[in-house]
Amino acid sequence: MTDDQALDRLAAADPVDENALPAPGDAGPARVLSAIVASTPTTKPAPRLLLGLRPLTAVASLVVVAAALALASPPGQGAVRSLVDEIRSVFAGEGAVVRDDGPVQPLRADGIITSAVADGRGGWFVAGGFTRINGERRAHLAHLLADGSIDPDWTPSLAGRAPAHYTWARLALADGRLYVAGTFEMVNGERRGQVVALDAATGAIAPEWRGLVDAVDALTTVAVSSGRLWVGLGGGALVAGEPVRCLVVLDGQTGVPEAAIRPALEPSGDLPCVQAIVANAGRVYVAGHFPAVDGTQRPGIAALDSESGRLLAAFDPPALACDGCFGPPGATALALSGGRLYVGGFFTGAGGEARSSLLALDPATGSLQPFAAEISRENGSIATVLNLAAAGDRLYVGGDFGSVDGQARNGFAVLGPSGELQQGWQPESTTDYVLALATARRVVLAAGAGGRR
Amino acid sequence: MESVDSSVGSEDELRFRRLFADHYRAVLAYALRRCAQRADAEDVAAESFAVAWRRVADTPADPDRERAWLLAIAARVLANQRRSRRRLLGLLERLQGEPPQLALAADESAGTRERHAEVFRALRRLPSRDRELLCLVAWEQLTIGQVGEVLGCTPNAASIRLHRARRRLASELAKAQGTSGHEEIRPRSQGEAP
Repeated sequence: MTDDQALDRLAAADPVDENALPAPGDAGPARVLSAIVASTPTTKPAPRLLLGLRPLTAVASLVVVAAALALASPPGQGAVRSLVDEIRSVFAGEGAVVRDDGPVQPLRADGIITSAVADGRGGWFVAGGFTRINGERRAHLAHLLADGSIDPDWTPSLAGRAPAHYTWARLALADGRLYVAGTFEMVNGERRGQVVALDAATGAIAPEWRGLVDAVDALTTVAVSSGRLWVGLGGGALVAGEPVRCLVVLDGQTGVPEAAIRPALEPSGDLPCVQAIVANAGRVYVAGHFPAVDGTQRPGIAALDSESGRLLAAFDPPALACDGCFGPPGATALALSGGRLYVGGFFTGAGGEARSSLLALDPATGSLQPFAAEISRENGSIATVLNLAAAGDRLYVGGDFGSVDGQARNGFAVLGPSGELQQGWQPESTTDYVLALATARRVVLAAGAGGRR
Repeated sequence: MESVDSSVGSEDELRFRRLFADHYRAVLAYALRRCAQRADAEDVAAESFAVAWRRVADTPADPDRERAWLLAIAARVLANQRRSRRRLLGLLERLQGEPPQLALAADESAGTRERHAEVFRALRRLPSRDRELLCLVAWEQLTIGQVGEVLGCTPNAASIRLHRARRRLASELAKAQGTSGHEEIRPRSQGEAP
């Protein structure tokens, strides 16, 4: 093949027919134009406006323009108000506690709900970009009691420099401590880094906690194993002043780094390095975007020894594949149950076998198991599984998808032992992305970001 | 060129409205080719024009350079969007590797889809800067000078990089087809006619 032929083939594969796009005079583009022209002065840049709000582009359409205009323009402009309303709705959080026999406890917040754990007494701890949840004022953390009400006496707070919607956390609960890791700078009014242990009963910072993690990139996940806290990093962090990449292991009591446990992972490009951690029986499984561990190829999924942090070489899963994708496949969620390690993410197969963003592995060897479900988005494009939770013979799946096995499921589904869709579980969901999943016996809390009102 | 209502607005506003009318579809198409979701692409297009509006005084005097100027803005908006997504919503990081949805249009035949998928796979194996350069030429149909403007390099540098990127794409496609590829540029063996 000549170079010219290659370029011709690339041109023929152009995925966009420019002429079929909406003309500038059509309703959508015209609205964007009107909003820009009507509300922003034609003076030289006011970069603070966009820079401060650029993160909003992460999940919302029209958000950046709307946000910029909201700050730049005087109040009273109808177009701006309606756009800002869109922002608020896009960033609302929604969720539900679902039981086998109903009833459903709804969860509504003014920001995304990013994490949840069962409290062991029928209630739940939740975290996210909210300042109100079920009508109560809470600063990014809340305790949902078993009766569905918000615990009036549990009021720890997170705060950060970012807009409130972007102050969120991931949670883990062990030995009476609630571990909180996220994009905050202050906890209960104190500057204690971005990973902190709270007394789960009172919400106070655990008195012996001395941890100081200053994350450069996102803190993506936390898990507890043998009294140690494993923290997943999108990229790097400073831990007690020392640079660390991908994974941090802290003493669960004090938060002091475990000097003897330094897992050797390196990020792959600019993609988040570790996205999910699950631990059991001396093993810590990690998933994300890393090419190798301890110099051995383990692209994206690996098992580590919980005492040393070294690679457990016997666990050698097949590489994920993503046919037809621009970028690499990714694993973003893990769950252990019933002798299986479940892996969710963004992929079309593994080891030469088709799997749509969800698969099961033997936790000892990493061999692919027959478990499979057809998970896809509404338009047939590749779905992403963002969260997994297992309880008994059920696997709860949360993420960005529209159907499972051809049946409509908006971001949340429950699967049986072979991957079959559980028909009885179809909570009415308006959640766009299920970011938080937690189970307690046969009860599940599923929540995330909801934009449809 | 789309018609522009010139009955209202300042000179800057009229210039911006014309830019929007002339190039909105091109900017949206650029973003659609690089975003996993249409909503994300619309974000990129909207923010690109918001930036263009604030910088309208910097619009190139030469109309032939306007498109490249806007695409250069869109490229930076896209990069910022990805960085922000990674930094602040690592848990939502999910779609950077997803193909443009329109690439999987249902009305394409299976053979066409497979041929296109083969191209995407080959493209994916290239360094990201090769990918961007090739797509600017093949999809955005920019001249080499315009490509240089978008990528922030001289036309000469862009030309050299394009030459290498084309070779690498051809090589990847040839590998996918099980052929050696690049017969036309392989070193001549002794005794071979020039």
